[in-house]
Amino acid sequence: MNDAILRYNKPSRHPEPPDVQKLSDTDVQRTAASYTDAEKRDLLWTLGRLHKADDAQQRIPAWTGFNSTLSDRNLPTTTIRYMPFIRAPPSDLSTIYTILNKLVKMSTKIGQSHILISADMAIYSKAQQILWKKPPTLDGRVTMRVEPPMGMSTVCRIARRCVYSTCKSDMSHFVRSMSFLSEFQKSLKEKDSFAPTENRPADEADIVIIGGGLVGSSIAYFLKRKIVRGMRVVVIERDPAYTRASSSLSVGGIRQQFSLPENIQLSMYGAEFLRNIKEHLTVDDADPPDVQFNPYGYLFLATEKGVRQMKTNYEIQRELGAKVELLTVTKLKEKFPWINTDGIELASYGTANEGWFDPWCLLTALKQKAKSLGVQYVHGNVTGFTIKKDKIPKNGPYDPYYDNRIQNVKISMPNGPEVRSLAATVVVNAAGPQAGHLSKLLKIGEGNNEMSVSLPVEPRKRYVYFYHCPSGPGLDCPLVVDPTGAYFRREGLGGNFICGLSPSEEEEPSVNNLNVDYDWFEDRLWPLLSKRVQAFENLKLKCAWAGFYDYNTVDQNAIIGGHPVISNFFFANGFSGHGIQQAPAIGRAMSELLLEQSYKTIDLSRFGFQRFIDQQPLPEMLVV
Amino acid sequence: MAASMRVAVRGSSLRLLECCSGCKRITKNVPQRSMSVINYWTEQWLNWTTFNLRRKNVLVEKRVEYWGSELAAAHWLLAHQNSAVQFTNGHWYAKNKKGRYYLPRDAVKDEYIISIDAKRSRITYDGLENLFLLKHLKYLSLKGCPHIDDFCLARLHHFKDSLTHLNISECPQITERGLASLHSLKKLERLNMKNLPQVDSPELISVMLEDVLPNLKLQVVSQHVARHHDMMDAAASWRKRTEDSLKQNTSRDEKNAKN
Repeated sequence: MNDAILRYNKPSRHPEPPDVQKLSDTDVQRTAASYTDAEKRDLLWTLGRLHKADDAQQRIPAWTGFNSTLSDRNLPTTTIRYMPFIRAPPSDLSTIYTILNKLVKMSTKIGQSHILISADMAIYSKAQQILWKKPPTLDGRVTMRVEPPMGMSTVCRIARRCVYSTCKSDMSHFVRSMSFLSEFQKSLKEKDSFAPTENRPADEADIVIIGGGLVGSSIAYFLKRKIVRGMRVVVIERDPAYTRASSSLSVGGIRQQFSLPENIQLSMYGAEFLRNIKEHLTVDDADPPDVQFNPYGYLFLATEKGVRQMKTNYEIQRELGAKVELLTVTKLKEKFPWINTDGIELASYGTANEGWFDPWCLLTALKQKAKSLGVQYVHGNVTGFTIKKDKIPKNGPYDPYYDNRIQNVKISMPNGPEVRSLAATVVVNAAGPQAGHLSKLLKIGEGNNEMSVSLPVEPRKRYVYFYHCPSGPGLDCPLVVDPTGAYFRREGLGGNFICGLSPSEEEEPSVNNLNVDYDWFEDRLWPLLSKRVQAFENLKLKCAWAGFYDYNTVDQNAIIGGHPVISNFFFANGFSGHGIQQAPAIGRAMSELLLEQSYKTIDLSRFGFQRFIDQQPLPEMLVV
Repeated sequence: MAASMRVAVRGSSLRLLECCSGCKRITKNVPQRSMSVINYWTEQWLNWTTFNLRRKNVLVEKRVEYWGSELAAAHWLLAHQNSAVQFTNGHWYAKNKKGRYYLPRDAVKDEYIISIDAKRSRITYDGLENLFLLKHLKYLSLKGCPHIDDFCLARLHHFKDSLTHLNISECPQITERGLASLHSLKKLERLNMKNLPQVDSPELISVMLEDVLPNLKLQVVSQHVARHHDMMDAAASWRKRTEDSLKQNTSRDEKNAKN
């Protein structure tokens, strides 16, 4: 039933009260005659019933049945029907007017003159408003009542946009429909999204963050940290168990060795945040969070070709206060005797605030703290947006400029066909690898001028392998990054290691699934590892997993800031493998941008979306 | 906030804090105003302790300019952290019973701080900056310091050329990861890591550290080694005794045979 919704225009004038009709004489006589008739029938019934007192042998039905068999009118048999969905908000008067008209049409079809509708309080009041104005189609045909407490209310609440018509029904039909209802209710109770609590987002929110991973939770936490009351922040996450999320599948390294000063500053704040995590993210009455930081540093190795780049990077890092040392080959051999220094000219070793940690602990800590500050986490999938063109005078009252704004975010709720509409003032894209797909929903990438530039973020699959090598490097093993891009680090104290390698553009695996290619390890990664550390010639591969990088295909750097055309859409995407370490700083930067309209601590204006429109990429040299 | 502060405060203050949280249970039936008054003062006290902690751990550059690096560090340790300091001439300086301390007025050349006894002091990650200019520090005792955690241990690499004895027993926030980051202290000879509440298997760490650090002898390991050596010695001596007795028996038999 996809008919158009009838527009209901509230009439301004009250209707005239009905005239008091006097009964004509014929009417009086008719009523008198029917009265004597009724007396006769009553007497007949009493005598007939008295004849046989025993119920089993009684042939005359009970009073109602007796009268109904005698009457010549066809009593209507009624049905319980389930209304199809009407895709419109239930609070609109037009929707309710449409519903009432449809119900009246249905009842005329089955030969009923009058219907009794029970609905919950909200719909009842709106429907009564309409009926009081006595619209011509509905006048005298409809009686409203507030629904009875038990069975119907549960079902009504689920099918929010439908109203039941319940009437006296045929007994067998009623029994059949009752059993159907009880089964329906049982199945609904199992699916807890239909329970009237928790997962329902409000109808409006101030800031909606799409994506509840590390970046999204960090933005929510920093926003709520500044303004606890008076601002509603909603985080939409389609996978609350984080089974496919990059945040939980990450290796979890943090380093200050980057080539861009902004990246260095972001990671330095990340390390400081982790150091003071007990102060920031403790929730009352719970244990303080522990991210299990291993402060062993990163060791980048460079061949002759990369020496100059490494030296310039080192200068920038020292200038900003990062504790990095340059090691010559002799010093490298002295410090880490297990490294094979063939072809290595220079190495840079981070001595403080570098290492690896457990990103899952950080994620749960941020999420708990954000929830305690009042952020609502919604389990749902964003399927679309409603955009509105506002005519607002940007350069004064005589120069109106069309401003595109997102009005609503359409969230498809789990376990059902429901699509909720959440009105939002600001929408932040923190969707990780799916950021490109999300921006396509807004038609970023189709259109003219600035709208033709799409968000260049796509998921790229990366493998991580876990192996055991008892004779490998000992306690002092940092996260070693080869000039070829292969990296490995120690994991725990039992001689276990973790390694990985970013494939080149031609070798990129498909992103349809998270399956691991073990041949990749055998063919490509193991030779590189054994060349660098001789002890790795004998190792046993224990297990492996895969995760997605939210890869920025243009320059592998973060994309932070607003969109030039859609004025209330903000990006926090494209971290390409270093999102975990930059998440706290990105959260702080976004909160400054949204609440104070400019960056206060770290200036990330170079990372805006404008660089794709101007075609001036900002490449990061040290991407692992 | 309350849970994190529980680690950071000393004994008596910890009891006061637990009293305050216990107060919540006792004062359930007390009218609203008193409860908020208790909460207010608890919160004020917590704010003051964090502020004071930060204040005591700041590196004051003027102090370094005026006194020189060694004396500045000595002043900081004595005044703010209630520790004791030993110079190369062998003298120990600390606060006396009246709370006063006396240090030489001018920095003497070639007089360096060689040992610091900072037992149960409130040194934090930021406070360790005061000590980085000390190049000849040999003995460092951070026993029972509540704010010393893994990050602080990683910072100790500044003393890698001179530190020989380190005592980090009874520090509540240290875990195995921090202990493993001591691999950079190449001259370390003795490490005291008894009674670390968050470390489950100190033996494994000690063995691995001994592998990496050449001069290190850890008591746990050396006890085992000594026991092993004792056993070997005992076995060798028993064998020797039995051999001797056998020899004696054979020679006596031969003698008897001859005779």
